[in-house]
Amino acid sequence: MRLIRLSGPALGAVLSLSCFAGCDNSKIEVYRVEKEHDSQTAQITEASGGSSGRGTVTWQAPADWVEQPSSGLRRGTFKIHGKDGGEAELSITAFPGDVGGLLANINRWRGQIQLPPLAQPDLAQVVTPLSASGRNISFVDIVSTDSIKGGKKSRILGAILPLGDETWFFKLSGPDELVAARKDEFKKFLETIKTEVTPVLASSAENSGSNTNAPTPPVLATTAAQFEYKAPPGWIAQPLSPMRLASFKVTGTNGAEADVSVVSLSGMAGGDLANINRWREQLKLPPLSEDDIASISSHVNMNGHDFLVTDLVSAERLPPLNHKMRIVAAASHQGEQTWFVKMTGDVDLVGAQKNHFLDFLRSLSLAGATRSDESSAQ
Amino acid sequence: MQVPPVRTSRLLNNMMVRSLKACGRALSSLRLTVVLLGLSMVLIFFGTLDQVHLGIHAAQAKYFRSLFVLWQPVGAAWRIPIFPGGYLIGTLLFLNLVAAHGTRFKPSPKKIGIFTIHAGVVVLLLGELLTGLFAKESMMRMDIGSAQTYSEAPRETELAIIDTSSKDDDLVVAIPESLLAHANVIQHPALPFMLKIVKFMANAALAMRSQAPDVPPSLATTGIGPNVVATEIPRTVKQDERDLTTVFVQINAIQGPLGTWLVSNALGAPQSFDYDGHTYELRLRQKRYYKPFTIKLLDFRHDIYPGTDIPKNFSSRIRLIDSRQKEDRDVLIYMNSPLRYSGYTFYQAGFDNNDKTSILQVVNNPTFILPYIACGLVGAGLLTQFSMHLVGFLRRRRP
Amino acid sequence: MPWFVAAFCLYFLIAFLFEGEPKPGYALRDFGRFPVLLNGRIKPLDTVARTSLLILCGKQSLRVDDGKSLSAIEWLTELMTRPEIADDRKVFKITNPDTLGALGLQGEENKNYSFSQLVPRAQDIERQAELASNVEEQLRTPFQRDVVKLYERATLYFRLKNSLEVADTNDFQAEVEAYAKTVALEFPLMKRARNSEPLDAPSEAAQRFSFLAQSAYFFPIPPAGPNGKPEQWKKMGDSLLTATKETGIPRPALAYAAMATGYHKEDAAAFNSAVSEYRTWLQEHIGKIPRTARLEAFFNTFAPFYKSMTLYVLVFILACGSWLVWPTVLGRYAFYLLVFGFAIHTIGLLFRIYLEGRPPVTNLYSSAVFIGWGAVLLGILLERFYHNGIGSATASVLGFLTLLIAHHLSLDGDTMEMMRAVLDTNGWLATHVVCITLGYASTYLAGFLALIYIVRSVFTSSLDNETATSLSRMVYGIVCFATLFSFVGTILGGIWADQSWGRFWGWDPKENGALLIVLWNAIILHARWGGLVGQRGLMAMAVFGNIVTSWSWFGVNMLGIGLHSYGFMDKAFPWLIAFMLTQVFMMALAALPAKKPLPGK
Repeated sequence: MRLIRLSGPALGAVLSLSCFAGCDNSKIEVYRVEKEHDSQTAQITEASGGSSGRGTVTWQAPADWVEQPSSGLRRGTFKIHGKDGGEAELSITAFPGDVGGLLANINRWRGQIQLPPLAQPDLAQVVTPLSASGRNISFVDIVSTDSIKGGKKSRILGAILPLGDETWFFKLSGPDELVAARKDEFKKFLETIKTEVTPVLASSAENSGSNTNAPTPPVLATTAAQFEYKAPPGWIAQPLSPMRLASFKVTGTNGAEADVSVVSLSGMAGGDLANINRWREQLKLPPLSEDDIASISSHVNMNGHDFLVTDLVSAERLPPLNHKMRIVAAASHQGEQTWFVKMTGDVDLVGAQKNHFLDFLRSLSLAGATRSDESSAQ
Repeated sequence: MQVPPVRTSRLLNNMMVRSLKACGRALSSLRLTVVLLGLSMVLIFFGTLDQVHLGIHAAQAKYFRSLFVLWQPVGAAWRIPIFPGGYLIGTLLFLNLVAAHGTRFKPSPKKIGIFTIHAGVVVLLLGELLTGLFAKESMMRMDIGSAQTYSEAPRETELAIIDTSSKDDDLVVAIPESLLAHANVIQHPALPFMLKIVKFMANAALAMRSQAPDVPPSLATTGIGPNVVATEIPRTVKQDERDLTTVFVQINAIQGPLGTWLVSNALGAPQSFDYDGHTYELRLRQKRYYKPFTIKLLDFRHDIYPGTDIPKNFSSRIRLIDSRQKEDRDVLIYMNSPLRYSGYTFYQAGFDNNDKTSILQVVNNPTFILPYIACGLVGAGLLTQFSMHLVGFLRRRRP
Repeated sequence: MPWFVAAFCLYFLIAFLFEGEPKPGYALRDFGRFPVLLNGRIKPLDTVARTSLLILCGKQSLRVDDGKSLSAIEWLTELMTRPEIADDRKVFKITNPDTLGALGLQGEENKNYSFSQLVPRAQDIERQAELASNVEEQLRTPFQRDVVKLYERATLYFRLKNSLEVADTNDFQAEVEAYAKTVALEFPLMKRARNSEPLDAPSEAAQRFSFLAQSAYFFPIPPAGPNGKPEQWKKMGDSLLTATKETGIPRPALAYAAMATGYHKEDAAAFNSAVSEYRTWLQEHIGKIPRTARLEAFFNTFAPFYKSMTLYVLVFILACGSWLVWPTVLGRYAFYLLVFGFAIHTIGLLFRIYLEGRPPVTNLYSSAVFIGWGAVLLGILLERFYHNGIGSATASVLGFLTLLIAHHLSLDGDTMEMMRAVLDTNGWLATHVVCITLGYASTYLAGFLALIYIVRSVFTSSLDNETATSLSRMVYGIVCFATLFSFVGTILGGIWADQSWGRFWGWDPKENGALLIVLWNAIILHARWGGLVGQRGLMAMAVFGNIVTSWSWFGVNMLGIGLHSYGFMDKAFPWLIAFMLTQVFMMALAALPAKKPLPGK
């Protein structure tokens, strides 16, 4: 009996409690609240978002800035056409680290329009601090003293934005008047820059498998052959490194070797003079001026493409084999891309292979192809 | 002639007493304990398996927070109970325990371990029951820099009709989802018009009509509705997805219907209309629980281990502003370190939007202390009981 | 303890110290001890080598054609500096027949393939992996899982290849030194401001280093100074690109470049001198870290858990033998070896605790190791009291099986990974997780004791009354222990959940699994107290405890909650089912009549 007396109320208590459970859900509530300032956008997904990866930068360009396909280490390129046919170019690049610092980079730009470099104390006078998305941007406006191209002065508007462990460069360069006219536009453009940390989409939180460091570069895929060629006999294809679209090795007697590479870069890639001088430097030859270029290079037309072919021989013996070295290089501008085909190696071997080199040029069919995995370089 | 009534009633009395005694013996028997524990194991096992199909919350409601597990044959509207549910088994275990202690257990110092353990178990069961009945969980999603005075239910919506005419504040009439689902006509003195629920869909897929040309005309006559196609789909079972509750609601004033709107928590912006000099907004949103204080998110940090995307810690720096209690202080909320204030506990639950949005879980559980008490009781009881056993065992081994 | 047992133990313990260098003449062991940052943790290159090789082919050393085997660190160094040779080593273990068919690979006896064999099929692998990755993970077929895994493994291989130097480099040291000269003149990316470089297409060196920075798998360059933080470790490419005129190229980068070139040119002297120079630099400049890395490399070579596994097998043989012949002698030897194996097992656990800085159980791998440890400890105590070989036998079986499971769990990668934010509180890891794991260990121990009872009673006539009673007491005692720990552990878990997200009990599959163990142990006790089961019933119930614990430990992980799948595709699933069926079979055996023990026993 004691049991019944005990269990009865106990059961009753439990059952009555459970009645409370569903009872309060169906009431309409009326209340007053403060006005809301933002409208809530419906968020469909809950919790556990992505995770941080490398920073990205977004911007908004004015309507008449024509965006160009980006390549290699460029994050963005725009061309602005002036009324009188002049053209200015905005290049956006980013590199790890601080790339030498503010002074060094400003002096680099000064050098590009043949201005003398500044010293550290003068820096503050030249740099205007701007701000975008809460971050500090260093802005400079430099005009050349002499005429650089086509009898006109050149102007560079540059902005340097440190972001995380990278530094971003925004450089608008072109004829003085055109660029000056666009200066306000450029500054407004800088203010539209937003910096975000893009998430590297994490796989489900429970996945304890392979780690993910930020961007994965191209793994195994060779590029889809969007340009064609025919390799001459004796040229052995090499595994591609990321910048080369094709790579060959030729071996001759006594350990002589020659290396052939095909590379494509966007835009003018610095111009013919700069590239020829780069190759000259690789052979430890002194640089030339624009006038002398014509004497050491020639234009040839191969398969509908115009190549500027240069043949250079080093003056001294160079490592590793202590032979004289020779470079035969061809550059061709195709639309927005510049193609370089370069054979470097032992002087005799390259000489012997020169005809093969020309045959190879003849076999090229360049259709403005880009590397299919370009985007991973971002 | 008198039939001896006493004998009949005494017979009945005896029978009653005997059957009650049998019941009592059964209720307090150890056999019942074992059976009940076995049943609970079966319940838990199948409930766990069914979570794959139903999702954690629906499975919880079906198996553990119910008196019976109901089974609905395919296509039928009726459901039959096929197995005792969590509440029933829990109640029976509770009664069994009480009965056993009431009848068979003679209090003695030897049994103190067992008593304490069982007391702890009772408190645990009670705690889980009360939590199921009374605890409320909600979420606060805040962008950095924003302040909020409400939290939202993760799986429940409400239709908010907001009178935005006044310059100072808004008057909100919030109609819970359960009413939208079951009621046909909704009327409330605070509203000068009547709502008729034309169609309620617990979860729907919405698409623009322009991309689905062959569907029948929309039930909605005004607002966004006519441009949208809503197709009903089953409720989601994934933990991180929300149902897109969609309702076609017709607003009827005295003069006649003002129109039929499609409202859904998938829509970003509210729809509004004017009536009788007032401007009203219609919003189907997650059910809001307004609080008498404000939380402002100052900063959210998300550290990861270098070179990986394994999260190291998350933390939200918030400012708590309560004008009643004159509180205005900064608090850092991070994993395993919540803010307890005014009966609510705020936990760092997640984040979104490239680390710009922090998600806090808000829990209101008045009976939260019970499991701690139970832990203490059970732990103490187990230790006592088994150390007594161990001592006895060792004493016997030592010759 | 007889001298020869002691001698055997000593030899077993220190034999590994006398192994020679992996590649004679090269200081590869010291190279393997250099610390690098990977997955948020600083670890020796030796660990990177071993875990990478485990991921690729399931072993810590590579068998090569002429019957010899390549140690992990030798393989890794070769991959990083002489990839043209490494690419022909058969490191990719591919066993799924559909994968082999889709890629047109066949003919290899032991299903190991080399990177060069995969390269021509690279586009196919990428395409298949991309298709498969569009399917949700739990819904993938075995082929899809395998091909995604293959793609991940190939990516790992490629990235390792390009971690110290770009794969096609012939003389990285010269490349770095040439680059250093340009750094000394101006800032890194431009040679000379005025004339030469195309202005927005930086030098080839910078391009190569940028590629190197993107591809590299680990971060080898430490920050200078003893107070460097893990976030400051750099990849090789990054440290070169960020060198300035003032900082110059960091010493570690130069050192690694010298080592890479030395190994590439097979110049042992150059390699060794670069290694020893860097070693000295590390000791002078970054404090304690190299010591911990060296300790971890030593731990890898010591491989305590594999040693314990071997010992446990011996113990089992001796213990079973002691039931047939020479009971006291064999029993004693079994016990000594068991204790010795346990000591090594403990040393291994202590190493892990020190290296990780965490309580012993942090992930599935360490839970397996700890379950073994707990079971062996309890078994030792039982044997100490009962002296009948049963404690030794059960302990050794459980120790061996759990370490075997741990070995298979280690094939996914680093077992000392960093813990996610919500899980990384040492307090709760030390209490809740340890209690639950001890609960698992003791339930398994009770189950295996019961298995011995059943086997001996049904198949042999060696189960006399005395043994039966002592077994019964053992099982009962261990079940009490299991109830205590699993109950307390489960409640502690609830409190941890309440502290973390405000919910004591969420009816989560893992929580439910733990609760099932508590309930089952409680049922055993109540049934025994109520006289509802006799001795054999107790044994059958204890064996069922094995099933419940396996479900809780592994089964719930395979559920794929929220998706319409039961995770049948999980590789371990058939093993789990097989194990459970064997236990059901044993339970059925318990119903058979016992073989009467011979009279006079």
